[in-house]
Amino acid sequence: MNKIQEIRHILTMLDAQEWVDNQAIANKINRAVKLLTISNEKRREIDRGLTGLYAIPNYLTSLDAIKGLEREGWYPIVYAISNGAGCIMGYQASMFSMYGKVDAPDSPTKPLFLTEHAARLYAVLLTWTYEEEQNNDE
Amino acid sequence: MTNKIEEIRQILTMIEGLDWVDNQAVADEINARVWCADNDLHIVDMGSTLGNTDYYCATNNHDHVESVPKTNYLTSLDAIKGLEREGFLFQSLNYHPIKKDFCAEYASVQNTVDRGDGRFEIINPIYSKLLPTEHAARLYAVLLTWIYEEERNNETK
Repeated sequence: MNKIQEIRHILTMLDAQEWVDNQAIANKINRAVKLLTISNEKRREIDRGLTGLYAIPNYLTSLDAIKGLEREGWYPIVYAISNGAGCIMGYQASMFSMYGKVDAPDSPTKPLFLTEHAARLYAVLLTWTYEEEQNNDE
Repeated sequence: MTNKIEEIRQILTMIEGLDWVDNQAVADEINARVWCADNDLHIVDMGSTLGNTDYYCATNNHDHVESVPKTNYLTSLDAIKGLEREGFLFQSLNYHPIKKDFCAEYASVQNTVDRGDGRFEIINPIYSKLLPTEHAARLYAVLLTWIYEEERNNETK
Protein backbone atom coordinates (compact mmCIF):
# COMPACT_ATOMS: atom_id res chain seq x y z
CA MET A 1 0.00 0.00 0.00
CA ASN A 2 1.20 3.51 -0.67
CA LYS A 3 0.80 6.18 1.97
CA ILE A 4 -2.51 7.52 0.68
CA GLN A 5 -3.95 4.02 0.66
CA GLU A 6 -2.69 3.47 4.18
CA ILE A 7 -4.36 6.66 5.38
CA ARG A 8 -7.61 5.76 3.61
CA HIS A 9 -7.53 2.37 5.27
CA ILE A 10 -7.26 4.06 8.69
CA LEU A 11 -10.09 6.43 7.80
CA THR A 12 -12.24 3.46 6.88
CA MET A 13 -11.45 1.76 10.19
CA LEU A 14 -12.31 4.93 12.08
CA ASP A 15 -15.50 5.39 10.11
CA ALA A 16 -16.65 1.86 10.91
CA GLN A 17 -16.54 2.78 14.62
CA GLU A 18 -15.76 -0.80 15.63
CA TRP A 19 -12.82 0.55 17.65
CA VAL A 20 -15.33 1.79 20.22
CA ASP A 21 -15.74 -1.61 21.82
CA ASN A 22 -12.99 -3.58 20.16
CA GLN A 23 -9.59 -2.86 21.65
CA ALA A 24 -7.82 -4.95 19.04
CA ILE A 25 -9.11 -2.66 16.29
CA ALA A 26 -8.26 0.41 18.35
CA ASN A 27 -4.71 -0.93 18.73
CA LYS A 28 -4.57 -1.58 15.00
CA ILE A 29 -5.57 2.02 14.28
CA ASN A 30 -3.03 3.40 16.73
CA ARG A 31 -0.26 1.26 15.24
CA ALA A 32 -1.19 2.22 11.68
CA VAL A 33 -1.17 5.92 12.57
CA LYS A 34 2.17 5.62 14.31
CA LEU A 35 3.61 3.88 11.24
CA LEU A 36 2.63 6.87 9.14
CA THR A 37 4.85 9.08 11.25
CA ILE A 38 8.09 7.17 10.82
CA SER A 39 10.58 7.13 7.98
CA ASN A 40 10.62 4.54 5.20
CA GLU A 41 14.05 3.40 6.33
CA LYS A 42 12.81 2.76 9.86
CA ARG A 43 9.79 0.95 8.49
CA ARG A 44 12.00 -1.36 6.45
CA GLU A 45 13.95 -2.13 9.62
CA ILE A 46 10.71 -2.97 11.41
CA ASP A 47 9.57 -5.14 8.49
CA ARG A 48 12.86 -7.04 8.65
CA GLY A 49 12.48 -7.52 12.39
CA LEU A 50 15.58 -5.48 13.16
CA THR A 51 13.66 -3.20 15.48
CA GLY A 52 10.18 -2.83 16.88
CA LEU A 53 7.54 -0.16 16.84
CA TYR A 54 7.74 1.26 20.31
CA ALA A 55 5.84 3.88 22.30
CA ILE A 56 2.67 3.86 20.24
CA PRO A 57 0.47 6.71 21.48
CA ASN A 58 -3.20 6.14 22.03
CA TYR A 59 -4.49 8.53 19.40
CA LEU A 60 -8.06 7.55 20.18
CA THR A 61 -7.82 8.88 23.72
CA SER A 62 -5.15 11.59 23.61
CA LEU A 63 -5.74 14.99 22.08
CA ASP A 64 -2.08 15.79 22.66
CA ALA A 65 -1.06 12.81 20.56
CA ILE A 66 -3.36 13.95 17.76
CA LYS A 67 -2.08 17.51 18.10
CA GLY A 68 1.36 16.08 17.38
CA LEU A 69 0.10 14.86 13.99
CA GLU A 70 -0.93 18.31 12.81
CA ARG A 71 0.92 19.47 9.74
CA GLU A 72 2.36 22.94 9.51
CA GLY A 73 -0.03 25.42 7.97
CA TRP A 74 -3.16 23.64 9.13
CA TYR A 75 -5.32 24.90 11.94
CA PRO A 76 -8.08 23.17 13.85
CA ILE A 77 -11.37 24.90 13.31
CA VAL A 78 -15.07 24.30 13.80
CA TYR A 79 -15.96 21.45 16.00
CA ALA A 80 -19.69 20.96 16.12
CA ILE A 81 -20.61 18.62 18.88
CA SER A 82 -24.28 19.62 18.88
CA ASN A 83 -26.06 17.67 21.60
CA GLY A 84 -23.13 15.53 22.64
CA ALA A 85 -24.30 12.63 20.53
CA GLY A 86 -21.49 13.07 18.11
CA CYS A 87 -18.63 15.19 16.93
CA ILE A 88 -17.42 16.82 13.77
CA MET A 89 -13.99 18.24 13.48
CA GLY A 90 -12.32 20.29 10.84
CA TYR A 91 -8.99 21.65 9.81
CA GLN A 92 -8.40 24.72 7.76
CA ALA A 93 -5.55 25.78 5.57
CA SER A 94 -5.84 29.35 4.31
CA MET A 95 -8.50 29.16 1.60
CA PHE A 96 -10.38 25.97 2.35
CA SER A 97 -11.47 23.59 5.05
CA MET A 98 -11.49 19.84 5.50
CA TYR A 99 -13.98 18.33 7.85
CA GLY A 100 -13.79 14.99 9.49
CA LYS A 101 -16.56 12.66 8.40
CA VAL A 102 -18.92 15.24 6.95
CA ASP A 103 -18.50 17.88 4.33
CA ALA A 104 -19.95 20.82 6.22
CA PRO A 105 -19.78 21.95 9.83
CA ASP A 106 -23.47 22.66 10.07
CA SER A 107 -24.68 19.21 9.14
CA PRO A 108 -25.24 17.51 12.47
CA THR A 109 -27.83 15.14 11.05
CA LYS A 110 -25.16 13.28 9.13
CA PRO A 111 -23.33 10.42 10.86
CA LEU A 112 -20.99 11.73 13.53
CA PHE A 113 -18.09 10.36 15.46
CA LEU A 114 -18.72 9.29 19.00
CA THR A 115 -15.73 11.06 20.44
CA GLU A 116 -13.90 14.31 19.89
CA HIS A 117 -10.69 12.32 19.59
CA ALA A 118 -11.90 10.17 16.72
CA ALA A 119 -13.34 13.13 14.84
CA ARG A 120 -10.13 15.08 15.24
CA LEU A 121 -7.95 12.14 14.26
CA TYR A 122 -10.10 11.62 11.17
CA ALA A 123 -9.82 15.28 10.22
CA VAL A 124 -6.08 15.48 10.74
CA LEU A 125 -5.60 12.38 8.59
CA LEU A 126 -7.67 14.03 5.87
CA THR A 127 -5.13 16.85 5.80
CA TRP A 128 -2.40 14.23 5.37
CA THR A 129 -4.26 12.72 2.44
CA TYR A 130 -4.60 16.15 0.90
CA GLU A 131 -0.91 16.88 1.30
CA GLU A 132 0.12 13.49 -0.08
CA GLU A 133 -2.09 14.02 -3.13
CA GLN A 134 -0.62 17.47 -3.64
CA ASN A 135 2.88 16.02 -3.40
CA ASN A 136 2.03 13.31 -5.92
CA ASP A 137 0.56 15.88 -8.33
CA GLU A 138 3.80 17.81 -8.22
CA MET B 1 -8.78 34.19 51.18
CA THR B 2 -10.94 34.60 48.12
CA ASN B 3 -13.90 32.58 47.02
CA LYS B 4 -13.67 30.17 44.13
CA ILE B 5 -15.29 32.45 41.57
CA GLU B 6 -12.85 35.19 42.47
CA GLU B 7 -9.94 32.75 42.15
CA ILE B 8 -11.07 31.67 38.71
CA ARG B 9 -11.53 35.27 37.60
CA GLN B 10 -7.94 35.96 38.66
CA ILE B 11 -6.76 33.12 36.42
CA LEU B 12 -8.82 34.45 33.52
CA THR B 13 -7.27 37.87 33.98
CA MET B 14 -3.81 36.33 33.90
CA ILE B 15 -4.60 34.42 30.70
CA GLU B 16 -6.00 37.59 29.09
CA GLY B 17 -2.84 39.46 30.06
CA LEU B 18 -0.80 37.26 27.69
CA ASP B 19 2.31 37.62 29.85
CA TRP B 20 2.42 33.82 29.92
CA VAL B 21 3.31 33.79 26.21
CA ASP B 22 6.92 34.73 26.89
CA ASN B 23 7.15 34.52 30.67
CA GLN B 24 7.34 30.96 31.95
CA ALA B 25 6.94 32.07 35.56
CA VAL B 26 3.52 33.51 34.77
CA ALA B 27 2.60 30.37 32.83
CA ASP B 28 3.67 28.27 35.81
CA GLU B 29 1.55 30.36 38.12
CA ILE B 30 -1.50 30.00 35.88
CA ASN B 31 -1.00 26.24 35.79
CA ALA B 32 -0.64 26.07 39.57
CA ARG B 33 -3.70 28.21 40.15
CA VAL B 34 -5.81 26.11 37.78
CA TRP B 35 -4.69 22.94 39.48
CA CYS B 36 -5.45 24.36 42.91
CA ALA B 37 -8.86 25.63 41.83
CA ASP B 38 -9.72 22.25 40.31
CA ASN B 39 -8.88 20.54 43.54
CA ASP B 40 -10.86 23.05 45.52
CA LEU B 41 -7.74 24.23 47.26
CA HIS B 42 -6.74 27.74 48.06
CA ILE B 43 -3.35 29.02 47.06
CA VAL B 44 -1.14 30.34 49.79
CA ASP B 45 1.10 33.30 49.13
CA MET B 46 1.46 32.73 45.41
CA GLY B 47 3.15 36.10 45.01
CA SER B 48 6.22 35.01 46.89
CA THR B 49 6.61 31.90 44.76
CA LEU B 50 6.39 33.59 41.37
CA GLY B 51 9.19 32.25 39.22
CA ASN B 52 9.47 29.09 41.25
CA THR B 53 7.75 26.07 39.73
CA ASP B 54 7.60 24.24 43.03
CA TYR B 55 4.34 25.73 44.17
CA TYR B 56 2.54 24.92 47.35
CA CYS B 57 -1.02 25.22 48.34
CA ALA B 58 -3.14 24.45 51.33
CA THR B 59 -6.62 23.18 51.81
CA ASN B 60 -9.38 25.51 52.83
CA ASN B 61 -8.80 24.87 56.49
CA HIS B 62 -5.00 24.92 56.08
CA ASP B 63 -4.66 21.54 57.76
CA HIS B 64 -2.01 20.36 55.38
CA VAL B 65 0.22 21.58 52.60
CA GLU B 66 1.05 19.64 49.48
CA SER B 67 3.02 20.14 46.35
CA VAL B 68 1.21 21.10 43.19
CA PRO B 69 1.92 18.75 40.28
CA LYS B 70 3.36 20.42 37.22
CA THR B 71 0.39 19.95 34.93
CA ASN B 72 0.76 22.26 31.97
CA TYR B 73 -2.73 23.34 31.03
CA LEU B 74 -1.34 25.90 28.60
CA THR B 75 0.27 23.23 26.44
CA SER B 76 -1.75 20.05 26.99
CA LEU B 77 -5.18 19.52 25.47
CA ASP B 78 -5.47 16.30 27.46
CA ALA B 79 -4.99 18.25 30.69
CA ILE B 80 -7.67 20.74 29.64
CA LYS B 81 -9.99 17.93 28.60
CA GLY B 82 -9.61 16.63 32.14
CA LEU B 83 -10.98 19.92 33.47
CA GLU B 84 -14.24 19.68 31.57
CA ARG B 85 -17.20 19.53 33.92
CA GLU B 86 -19.99 17.04 33.54
CA GLY B 87 -22.96 18.69 31.91
CA PHE B 88 -20.92 20.93 29.63
CA LEU B 89 -20.05 20.20 26.02
CA PHE B 90 -17.19 21.49 23.97
CA GLN B 91 -18.96 23.07 21.03
CA SER B 92 -16.54 24.77 18.72
CA LEU B 93 -13.15 26.21 18.07
CA ASN B 94 -12.60 28.98 15.59
CA TYR B 95 -9.37 30.29 14.20
CA HIS B 96 -8.82 33.62 12.53
CA PRO B 97 -6.12 33.06 9.91
CA ILE B 98 -5.19 36.73 9.63
CA LYS B 99 -5.34 37.80 13.27
CA LYS B 100 -4.02 34.34 14.20
CA ASP B 101 -6.12 33.90 17.29
CA PHE B 102 -8.52 31.30 18.58
CA CYS B 103 -11.95 31.33 20.19
CA ALA B 104 -13.36 28.28 21.98
CA GLU B 105 -16.99 27.66 22.86
CA TYR B 106 -18.65 25.49 25.48
CA ALA B 107 -22.32 25.06 26.29
CA SER B 108 -24.33 23.61 29.10
CA VAL B 109 -26.28 20.51 28.13
CA GLN B 110 -29.27 22.06 29.89
CA ASN B 111 -29.00 25.02 27.54
CA THR B 112 -28.90 22.89 24.42
CA VAL B 113 -32.39 22.75 22.97
CA ASP B 114 -33.50 20.18 20.40
CA ARG B 115 -35.19 22.09 17.56
CA GLY B 116 -36.75 18.92 16.32
CA ASP B 117 -35.24 19.05 12.85
CA GLY B 118 -32.06 17.30 13.81
CA ARG B 119 -30.46 20.55 14.86
CA PHE B 120 -29.82 21.98 18.28
CA GLU B 121 -30.02 25.53 19.49
CA ILE B 122 -27.60 26.65 22.16
CA ILE B 123 -28.81 29.20 24.66
CA ASN B 124 -26.14 31.26 26.39
CA PRO B 125 -23.09 29.73 24.77
CA ILE B 126 -19.87 30.29 26.68
CA TYR B 127 -17.12 31.83 24.57
CA SER B 128 -13.50 32.44 25.34
CA LYS B 129 -11.77 35.69 24.51
CA LEU B 130 -9.67 35.71 21.35
CA LEU B 131 -6.36 34.19 22.40
CA PRO B 132 -3.15 33.29 20.58
CA THR B 133 -3.25 29.52 21.14
CA GLU B 134 -5.85 26.80 20.92
CA HIS B 135 -4.91 25.68 24.42
CA ALA B 136 -5.36 29.11 25.98
CA ALA B 137 -8.73 29.65 24.32
CA ARG B 138 -9.99 26.28 25.39
CA LEU B 139 -8.67 26.63 28.94
CA TYR B 140 -10.30 30.05 29.20
CA ALA B 141 -13.67 28.70 28.04
CA VAL B 142 -13.47 25.73 30.41
CA LEU B 143 -12.80 28.07 33.31
CA LEU B 144 -15.82 30.14 32.31
CA THR B 145 -17.94 27.00 32.62
CA TRP B 146 -16.59 26.61 36.17
CA ILE B 147 -17.76 30.12 37.02
CA TYR B 148 -21.13 29.35 35.46
CA GLU B 149 -21.36 26.20 37.55
CA GLU B 150 -20.23 27.93 40.76
CA GLU B 151 -22.76 30.72 40.27
CA ARG B 152 -25.50 28.19 39.66
CA ASN B 153 -24.47 26.29 42.80
CA ASN B 154 -24.52 29.50 44.81
CA GLU B 155 -28.02 30.31 43.56
CA THR B 156 -29.36 26.94 44.60
CA LYS B 157 -27.88 27.11 48.11
